[in-house]
Amino acid sequence: MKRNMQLMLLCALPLAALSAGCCSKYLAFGTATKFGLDITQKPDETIDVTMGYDRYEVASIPVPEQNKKGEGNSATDADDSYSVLATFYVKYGNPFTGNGLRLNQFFATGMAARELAERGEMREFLGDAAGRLQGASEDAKAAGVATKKKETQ
Amino acid sequence: MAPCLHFESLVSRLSPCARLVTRLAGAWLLLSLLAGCTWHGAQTDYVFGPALVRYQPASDTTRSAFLETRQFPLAFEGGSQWGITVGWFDRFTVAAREQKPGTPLRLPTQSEHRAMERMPWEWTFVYFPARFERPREFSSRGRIGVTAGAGAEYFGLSAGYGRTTRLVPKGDGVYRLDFQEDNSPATIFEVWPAASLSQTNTNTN
Repeated sequence: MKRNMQLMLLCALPLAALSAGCCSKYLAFGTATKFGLDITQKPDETIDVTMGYDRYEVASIPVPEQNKKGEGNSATDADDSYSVLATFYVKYGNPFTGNGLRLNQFFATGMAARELAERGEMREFLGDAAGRLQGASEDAKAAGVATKKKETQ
Repeated sequence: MAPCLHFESLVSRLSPCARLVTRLAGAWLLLSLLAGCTWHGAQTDYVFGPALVRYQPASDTTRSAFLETRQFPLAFEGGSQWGITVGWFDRFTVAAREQKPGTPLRLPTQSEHRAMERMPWEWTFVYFPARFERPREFSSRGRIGVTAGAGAEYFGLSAGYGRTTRLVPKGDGVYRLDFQEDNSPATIFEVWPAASLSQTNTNTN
């Protein structure tokens, strides 16, 4: 009985970990900073074990539904859950000295992303705007910039 | 050490039943003094036990609604996010403030930040159950110590320092977020809904 319970517990943890983030069909951005021992399920559904220092940035974007042949697209002219246009700036420092995490994001989703993509000034802006704050250009060296652009149709 | 021994010698004189009741009462008293609890409901968070709270309700039209809680040395969570932390625990959630149609798109400026930083964000000590409307879109969780959690915001086990953030936009729109861990209440988080975007100009200066 005791052995069965142990077996159930051993099975339950990975199964619960797999089921928690599985099948998420929504847009999500995530970051993590860790120091020590950490066993985490990332937003992109993989299990991560860390000993020491680590950090990551994740953008999880649902993909358009397709048929069995790999064709088709569920986005329409009026409804689009898949287009994302984003700038993502993240800066890490020592959290114990008042230089902790700094996040600066500017992003558009769905129909709003389509609308922005049609504007010339926004196309230009999103090309170099990540982390741009007036008077904060000295932070640029520490900036990690990721630009995701996904157009459907 | 001496008070513990004194307590034990007192307890040992009691009958087995009274001893059990005394020990349970002692454990409950200790937990109630040390453990901060949060229950994450569908729309609201309930905070009880010793906790520090900073809260900005959604009714304010100039700032984003936020809720920040800090608990030490023991924190429990339940509801949509389960967890236990032995150590220091901090959780900050903020909702995007909807911009009126016609408001130009722009990035946060330094003057905006200075204005936010000057605001008197004081902590409130909470012990008895308090109910807060929960901002949902962006969350940041920090911990120092040993943590176990199960939920959308955090799923795992950790020992040491950690901070995770999660942003899930509510609907189609253009979002602007500026978050600083050291000054969470100064967070700027705004959204221009897709439906009103055609009336919106762009200001990239």
